[in-house]
Amino acid sequence: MPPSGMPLFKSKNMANKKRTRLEIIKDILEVIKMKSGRIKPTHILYKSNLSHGMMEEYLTELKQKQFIKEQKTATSRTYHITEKGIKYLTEYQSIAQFTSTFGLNE
Amino acid sequence: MEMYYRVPTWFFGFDIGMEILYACIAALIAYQAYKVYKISEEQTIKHLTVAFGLISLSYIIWAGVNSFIFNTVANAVEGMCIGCLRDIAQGGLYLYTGLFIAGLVSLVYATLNIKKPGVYYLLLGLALTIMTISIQKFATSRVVALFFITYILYHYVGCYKNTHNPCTKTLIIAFTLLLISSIDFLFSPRYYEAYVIGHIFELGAYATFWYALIQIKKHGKQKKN
Repeated sequence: MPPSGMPLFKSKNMANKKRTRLEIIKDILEVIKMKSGRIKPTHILYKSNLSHGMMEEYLTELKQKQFIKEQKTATSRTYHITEKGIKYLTEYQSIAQFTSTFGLNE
Repeated sequence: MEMYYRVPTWFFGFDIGMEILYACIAALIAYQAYKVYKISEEQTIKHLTVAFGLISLSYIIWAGVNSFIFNTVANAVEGMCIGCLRDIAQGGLYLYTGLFIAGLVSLVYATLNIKKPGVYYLLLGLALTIMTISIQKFATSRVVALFFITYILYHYVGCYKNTHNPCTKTLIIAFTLLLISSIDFLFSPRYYEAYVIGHIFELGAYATFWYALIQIKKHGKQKKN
């Protein structure tokens, strides 16, 4: 685990190249999964190293795809990963290899 | 009257078998892409599924047309007028080229990575219009296909320069062979050798596509482990 207060994926993915869409999705899902499946948006924002606008866009997409579920209370909202999201993480390498080969990376 | 292609008599049957094989490999890629789409729900992968699905369907139609001609000629079907034979074969060939070009347009659209369906319909509409209004429809469709394959090849060369992915290199070889076969088919209305050589290059292209698919699976599994 990286030291507390350090963006989780910076050293691995962000040092040399721009992350692809699929990598960002994987990073967000991994952050949610690591936090025992429940996390606040501020934590996702910090750990996934995205701007607020970009993070909201990705969260909306992930909700639409049913990779994550949102739970709202009067004071906060939290996210947890679904079975579909876990399946995405499990199969990520195959997906990445396929899209990279066919030049579909964004 | 437009001449489509010349086929040496000894090659009848072989061409049909090869076209069915191309259809199977294209269908296999489409199926693999569909499996990846079901997990990732990425739109570009959906377009890739549609692209190879259409290409597979186009080869089935082509094999069907050639099989129809082969059976009609071989059995000398009584009562079948030459005009009817020509109309059925012509309709089938136009359907084949239309589907093949639609497949290539879908592939081009997937590689463009844009979320504007209007662009897809514009490309498809332009390609099919050029084909429809041309006097030499079949030859024109071959040129249009050539144009799209050249773009796809250019795209993959660019991708390989960025990623150095060995599987992309295999795809470059496959599309180069497909490009050569498409150039070769342009001469098939004049020389029957061109039809045979075109099929051989196409066989090489689809065998390479198949190898690329195996490579993708292997590399995907290796990375997972």
